[in-house]
Amino acid sequence: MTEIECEVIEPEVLEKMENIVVFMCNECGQGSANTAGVARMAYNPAIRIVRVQCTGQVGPIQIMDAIDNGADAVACIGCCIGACHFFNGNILSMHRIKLLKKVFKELGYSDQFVNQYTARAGEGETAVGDFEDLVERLATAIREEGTVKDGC
Amino acid sequence: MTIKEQKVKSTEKVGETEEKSEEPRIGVFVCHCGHNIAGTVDVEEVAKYASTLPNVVKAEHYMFMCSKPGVQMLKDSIEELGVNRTVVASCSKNQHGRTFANTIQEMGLNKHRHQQVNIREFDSWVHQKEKEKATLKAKRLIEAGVNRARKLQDVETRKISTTKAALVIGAGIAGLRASNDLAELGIPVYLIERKSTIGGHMTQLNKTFPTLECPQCSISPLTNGVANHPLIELYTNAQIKEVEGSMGNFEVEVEIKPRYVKDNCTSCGECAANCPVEVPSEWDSGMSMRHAIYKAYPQAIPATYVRSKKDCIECNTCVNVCPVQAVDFSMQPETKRFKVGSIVVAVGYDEYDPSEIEPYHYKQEGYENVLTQLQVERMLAPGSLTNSQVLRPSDGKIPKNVVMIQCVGSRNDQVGNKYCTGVCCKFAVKNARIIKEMYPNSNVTICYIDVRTPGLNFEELYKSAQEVGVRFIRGRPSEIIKDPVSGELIVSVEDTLSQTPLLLKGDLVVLSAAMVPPEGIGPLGSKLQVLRSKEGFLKEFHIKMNPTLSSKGGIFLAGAIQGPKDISESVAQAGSAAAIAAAPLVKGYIEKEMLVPSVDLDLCVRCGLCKTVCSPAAIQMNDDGTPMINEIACKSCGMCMPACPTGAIQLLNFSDEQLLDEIIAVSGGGGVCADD
Repeated sequence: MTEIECEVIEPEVLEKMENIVVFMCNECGQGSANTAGVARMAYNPAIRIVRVQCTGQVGPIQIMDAIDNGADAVACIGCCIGACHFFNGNILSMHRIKLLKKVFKELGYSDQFVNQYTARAGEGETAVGDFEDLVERLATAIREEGTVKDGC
Repeated sequence: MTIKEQKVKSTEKVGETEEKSEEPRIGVFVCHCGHNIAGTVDVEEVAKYASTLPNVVKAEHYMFMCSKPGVQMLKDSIEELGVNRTVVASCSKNQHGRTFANTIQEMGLNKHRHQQVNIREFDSWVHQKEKEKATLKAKRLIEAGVNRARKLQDVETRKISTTKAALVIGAGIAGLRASNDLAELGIPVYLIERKSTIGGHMTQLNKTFPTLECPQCSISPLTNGVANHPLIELYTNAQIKEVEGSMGNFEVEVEIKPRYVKDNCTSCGECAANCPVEVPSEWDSGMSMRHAIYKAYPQAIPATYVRSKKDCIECNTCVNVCPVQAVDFSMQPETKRFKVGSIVVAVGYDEYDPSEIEPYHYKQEGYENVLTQLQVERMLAPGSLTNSQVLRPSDGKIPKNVVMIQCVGSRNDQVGNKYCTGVCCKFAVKNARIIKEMYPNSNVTICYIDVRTPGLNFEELYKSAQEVGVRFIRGRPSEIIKDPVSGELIVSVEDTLSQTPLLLKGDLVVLSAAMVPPEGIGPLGSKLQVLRSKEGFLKEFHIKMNPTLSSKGGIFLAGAIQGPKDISESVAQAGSAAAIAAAPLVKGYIEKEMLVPSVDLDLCVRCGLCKTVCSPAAIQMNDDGTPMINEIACKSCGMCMPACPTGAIQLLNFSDEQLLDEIIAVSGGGGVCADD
């Protein structure tokens, strides 16, 4: 496996990422994070995983609660499109995140504070890739507009 | 929909239900897992921190929580301190969550009062270089677990009766074995086969490794036994149309295509003898011809002839010559519905089609002497066109130089198959030895990357091939070239051991093609709602601990559909699949945890949105517009929760309020639990 080096994030930006709340579904989401753990694939320790039954279970209430209580970013990680164990929970969640991104923009925040990803239980790389992308996007948002706590 | 009709025949509560209003007393146990956790996370500090959290009456750390003394700590805390909710911070919920949940159940607590916190896979293993941050993360996760545990409610477990019948898809060696084993356990079996005959790939083989036994002789007692078993209903030319229901109670719709020959067929063969159409035989891998009305091979079961509608020119000759008037063109496809409790998927594999690899020129004009192992096997088999001889297809002469190429379509990134098929080496070594023994004056060469012949008797087979004079060259051939003058094939390969480029003459080139997922597995997989691995095979539940269960409860995998396998492995897995598929059917019930949503009718605005998102259709509307939840069909996904505009519908133990407590802790809310 070749590791692709992402762009280096400055320590002062990294410092601002204290708690990134990731809702992972009980199936592929948790599965891929477990696989990543077994393979000892390192990722940013600010990532905090919350177990939910399906990403379709995560609503705006949960996401806003997390932001309200100090999360720097929120992401939902579900199964691949077409592989949701509950038929279409990941797609429902994806629509929800899309709408929330608009809400964030309307409110004057960066739309990178909420994201949706997919992962595959058998491949830890997928989850770690999601985390890396999440951190990268958050870093860009922080560099450009500041953290969600700053009120941008 | 049939899911709705599922009824609970016996309802029984497992585990005690206690008063909800009692004060939560939480016990926190932090596991070292040897050095796995303690090497990164400061477990002592984490345990100390946990003891300061509200409602925590005991916080300890221990070397191995899953060991007997570790489990005893849980029991002691329940007995001595009156702990009524446990939080164990160790490995993933899948690994040992159940161990601890069962322990507290033994002690009389509902097992849903256990909260597993994963600080190994999610923390210590992935943050090994950042010990301080890992410790902080462990604290956050444990705090979240404690917050979550505080409001955990008891979940009742119900017994659901199962349908005592099983469906087996695919009648190859694995499917036959599984059907036979299930039927021997007294379970009625519906066996579905897509092709017109049963037996699968095994009937195509000439000899089986390592003992060079005749596969027809090995499999025919099983094929006959299954075909005549009183508890097995066999359907050939049949395909799955629809699968409904869940574990224990499935309803399957099967479409059975007609054979166009009635059961009174005496297999006299008059029809085929008079049929004017000839097409390459699929069963014979194209090494012989068959008619439009045919029997794949003499020992085929069912013995009834079959008409291929695609190839037939409808000259009606067969209808006229049949002495018993068995041929009937007016037969129509029929659809049947079966109620079954378990499904075993044993649809096997397809041989990889090497025509994708351009430099090998497989199936191209002028390269008739490039064959696959299965085609060579068909030539060698008794009763073949070549009279069990291996001959060059171009001119029918005995080949002077046979070259076998290994790893065609497996261990090859370019075609997208990284995996090793695992049987090709054994396959090639066996055929090379047979060819060399048959024609001692011919050269037989195997070009390999690695020879992989593990297991009892296989190394001996490899040695015996070397002894009879089979040449082994380490290197993957880059190309098969055709000599423009003589028209002979030349295999270009570098011997990587002596580092010399070689041009091997090969008037017969045999490609050891990989095993790939069978055609049509995509639609079948989505009908069954089971997951597939990235290679396309159906994914097992757990590679080590449960390689036989699919990702969905009640659906089991047998044989090469789970990954490339040889016959012995397929048979072994089929036996295992039959045993675990039979367990809930023999027992007569399965237990379902009633982790279902409840509706607050005061808040409900009767909008019906929860019904629209419910994928298993477990929510129906009452006449007054309020939702009614079918607790058996519910899959506990919680999708109805965010759909509700007023928060009236809440999933047990995953309610907004319960999730909020957890979210506060992981978002860095710090030490304060939500007051209410």
